[in-house]
Amino acid sequence: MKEGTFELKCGTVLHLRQVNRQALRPIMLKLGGGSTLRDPERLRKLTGKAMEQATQGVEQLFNYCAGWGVTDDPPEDAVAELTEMGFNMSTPRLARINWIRYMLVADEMEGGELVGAVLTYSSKDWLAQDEVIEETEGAEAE
Amino acid sequence: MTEYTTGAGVRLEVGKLPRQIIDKFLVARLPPEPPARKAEAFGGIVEEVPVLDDPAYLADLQTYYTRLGDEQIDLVAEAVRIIDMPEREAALMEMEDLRSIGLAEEDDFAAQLRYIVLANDEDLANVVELVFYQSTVTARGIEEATRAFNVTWMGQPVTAWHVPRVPGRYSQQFEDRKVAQHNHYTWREFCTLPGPEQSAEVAFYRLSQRLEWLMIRR
Repeated sequence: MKEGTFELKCGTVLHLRQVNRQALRPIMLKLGGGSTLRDPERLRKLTGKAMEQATQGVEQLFNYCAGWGVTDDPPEDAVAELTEMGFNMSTPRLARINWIRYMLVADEMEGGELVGAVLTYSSKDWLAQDEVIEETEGAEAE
Repeated sequence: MTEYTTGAGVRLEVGKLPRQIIDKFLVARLPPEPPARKAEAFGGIVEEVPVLDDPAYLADLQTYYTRLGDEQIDLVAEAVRIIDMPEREAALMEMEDLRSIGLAEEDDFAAQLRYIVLANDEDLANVVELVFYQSTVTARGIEEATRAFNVTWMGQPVTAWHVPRVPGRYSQQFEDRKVAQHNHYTWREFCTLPGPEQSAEVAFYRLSQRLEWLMIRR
């Protein structure tokens, strides 16, 4: 399993791991396929039902990557604060999603970068070749 | 019914689907065609040449295989049953989380396969292959029957002899219908045979055709 880290603007370093490819497929289809990820401008040109689906896809992609692709759990005080605010913190994954979304990422752009980082560990199908972090396990120094 | 154990130790019972459902599924999902460009061939003849590296075509192809990969889980879910699942509680909790973020419905077995049980590419490919093998004509079924029939001509396997190819091209389903007719089945009867039996009928037809050709040539 591939793993890595991602440093947010607030200084928190999140530990990432790959998520499963099958889970990404229905989300990617909502986004209009892999070409949309390579060219996010396409999302802005969508209208009607395609736009509605893509909006849902963006939300689900963030949630899935944050909940399943991040291994850090929120600290107790963050859990208490978010619970008080009415967020569902009943399971570790949901707690992670709400913590990252509402307390850590600065804006949509940073959320997108976090998603991109998780995807680089998960599936090269969705990204341009030069964005892929190649597996180096077992490689030997010459 | 065949038993299959995933890499994570989940024991599955894998059965068959009516082959008409598989045919309908595949016919409704034909791959995209590449664009063509005109090219001048020898003697000034203009021919249409497929542009296989066209970026838009490649993007369509990727989306096509993504959709096919995703939808085949819904297809095979009808033929799969969980016998035993280690860490069942954790899986149920994960399903609950998936429902919370809108990636699964209530009692969504296909989602359970997609996100948890067959999350590994290899397991998914193996289970899909098993369902197809048990339901319809497959390359594996044909190979197995060909080996079992062990037909030889002048001491060599019939398949080792060179037989000229016909220039016509047709789908597997067309050949299957020809086989059904040749082997005196109605199409409906042919479809009710288990997958390996259907494949054996195809292997029998192909070997018979080869053998006939070799005998005539002699």
